[in-house]
Amino acid sequence: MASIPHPTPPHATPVLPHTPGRNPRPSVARPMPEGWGVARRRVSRLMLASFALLAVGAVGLFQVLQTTQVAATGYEVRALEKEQQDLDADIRLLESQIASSSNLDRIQKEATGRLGMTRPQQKVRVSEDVPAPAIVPLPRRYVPAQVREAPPGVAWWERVLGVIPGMH
Amino acid sequence: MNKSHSNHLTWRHWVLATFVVASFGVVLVHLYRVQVLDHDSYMKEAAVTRQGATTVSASRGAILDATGYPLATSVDTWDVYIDRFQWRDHAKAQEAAIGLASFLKRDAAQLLKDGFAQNSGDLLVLRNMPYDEGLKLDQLDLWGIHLTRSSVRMYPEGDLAGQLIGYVGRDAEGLWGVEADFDGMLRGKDGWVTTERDALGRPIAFSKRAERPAVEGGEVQLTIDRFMQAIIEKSLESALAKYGAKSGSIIVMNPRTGAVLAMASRPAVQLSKVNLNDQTLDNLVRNRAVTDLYEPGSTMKTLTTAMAIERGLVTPESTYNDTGAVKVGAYVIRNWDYSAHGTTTVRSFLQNSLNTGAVWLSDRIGPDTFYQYVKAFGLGEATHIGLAGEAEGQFRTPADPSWYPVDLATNSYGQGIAVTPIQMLTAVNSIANQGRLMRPYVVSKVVTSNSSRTFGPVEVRQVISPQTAATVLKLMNDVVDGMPAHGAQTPGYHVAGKTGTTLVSIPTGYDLDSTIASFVGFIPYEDPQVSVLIKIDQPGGGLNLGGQVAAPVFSEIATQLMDYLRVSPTNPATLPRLAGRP
Repeated sequence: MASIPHPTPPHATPVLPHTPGRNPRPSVARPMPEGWGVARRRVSRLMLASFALLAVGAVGLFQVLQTTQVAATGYEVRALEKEQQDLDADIRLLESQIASSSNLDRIQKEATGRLGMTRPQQKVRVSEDVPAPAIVPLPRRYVPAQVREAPPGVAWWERVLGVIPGMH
Repeated sequence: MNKSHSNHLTWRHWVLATFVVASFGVVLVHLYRVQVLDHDSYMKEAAVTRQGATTVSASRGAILDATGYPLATSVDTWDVYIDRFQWRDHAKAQEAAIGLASFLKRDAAQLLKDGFAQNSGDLLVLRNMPYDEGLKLDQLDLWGIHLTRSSVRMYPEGDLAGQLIGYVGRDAEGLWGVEADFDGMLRGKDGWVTTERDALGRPIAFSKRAERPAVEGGEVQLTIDRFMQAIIEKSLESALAKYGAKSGSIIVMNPRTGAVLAMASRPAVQLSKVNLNDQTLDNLVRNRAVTDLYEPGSTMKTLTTAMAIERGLVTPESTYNDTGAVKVGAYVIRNWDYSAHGTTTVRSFLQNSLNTGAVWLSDRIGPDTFYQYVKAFGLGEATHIGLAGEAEGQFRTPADPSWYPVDLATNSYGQGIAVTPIQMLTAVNSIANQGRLMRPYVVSKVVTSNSSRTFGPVEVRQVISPQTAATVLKLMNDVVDGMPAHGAQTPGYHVAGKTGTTLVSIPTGYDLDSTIASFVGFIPYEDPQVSVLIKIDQPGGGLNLGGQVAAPVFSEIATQLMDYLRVSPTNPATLPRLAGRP
């Protein structure tokens, strides 16, 4: 029975001859030129090193950026705190000035001096069935007490960042 | 030979080895002590060196009047210091001195001299610089000039109620008055901020930071109304000047609640000119209405009458025979004007303020019952008004070995018994409050950062029945409106009240030339809105009786108070008529 010759595929990888003392390599899909494997190993290490350097650089850059951001925010917070202190001081000063402006002696001086008012010589009382309006002494106690909100708790991402050395 | 020599350890080797081992042992023990036993304390010490703490001052709370107006409040300021350590650099110091002198309008050479002369600590250049000016100075960034936050107490109404409000010392501690009595609530709590610092002591920007925020001081609201306070202070001053009196007190209260609406005494401290080195300061800051004792005189007759009516011993129309004098033991007690009225009713005895009538009533009441009622009216014990230095009062009772029957007789018309003005007004208030004795109070609200307390009327006890109270109140009205040209009569209103005149007690007895003129009363009689006690000490000149000196002051004050409180006239017939109108 005549055997039918097996046609060789046009891109079939030729079988390498067995070399004594060397394990036979498993057959691959296509033949590799001489020295190709060594070159791939060299490129791979270089790339690995590059990636590693890039990664280290990226982490470092990230850390520097974040630290800068934290510092900038810190300065901003301090500035806002100081501004709040200044505003609180202004409020207290204004309250005091309002109170001083409604000082009884000052009102009397303004009334009798600038406005030319005098004390009544006679009082006229008129009875009305309508109740008198409520006395509203001035000044009322300004504004309700300010309630400061408690600072929010630590967010999850802050806790994660806290694990990274140098990020405290 | 060398080998054998090296193997041979002499005693010197052993000594050396022992010394080395012992030294290591000492070092190890020390290390153990430092790093294990005393670890925490050394950590703290290191932290103190590395970390800088800054105190954040708490702002002192305000004292408000009943309407919410601040009678005392704090304003932020700066204290300016020269850092003597930094001023060791003379060139920079000179430049800073010129800048500071220009800003403060001072002599630069003197500033420089003072700065260099400072041996220890920083040099305080200016205390309480206005806040906005301090910010401008800070922006100049002068070398070695530091600003520390501070505050200054302001009194928007000036010297009003100075004894009651009090004063704050430089250490931010209240020295007297409400400032001292409520210091813990007004003061607040300083906070702190700790930051890590570099070698030069500058804060490291994003280092570890810990802080405790300052707790602002609480606010104390008084029952005092500044308008009423101003009215009585002006009236008291003019009365003292008019009658040549040395001192005096006036109290205005709400008889229904016990709230003190105004309280003034003279002489008084001026808050705007306090001199802490003044030897007479104690005399000026004393709230005499609460701390000083006096004999109430005939105002006490209202209480004696109330006791007798409450016990059913007399009615307003009961009579006794006034012969002008009554003998008690070895003593003869006479009426103040040496008059005799014959058959006299209880009403007439009060209207004419007869001592013999009070002795007659006290004799019927008896000593045990009399002193029970005296104590029930709150005399002889602190009223617990809530102010420091309150006196309790003084009188003898039958339980005291030094008590004599004549004490009962004299006590019945207000002599030989010492009370404070606030005690007396509180006791008499029960007559206008259906017999209920109320605790006086001057603070209505205390609000701190974490709490709010309101103080309201507190009934101490029912001393007399409402019927007795109404009867005595009518008798007091008859005393004022039932007598022609009584000094306390107030146009437009019915008034209930009683005058009192007593001699000034001195260690050897009484000063016959000095009196204390007083008046206690309610207005309007029908529905008392306010009760007023006026006490003028040692008036000079010809007028020295309660009816002559204190009663007119009541009328003057009552007129203004009724206007201010917008109380409709209860006796319009006594109002002056406009010309041309019926």
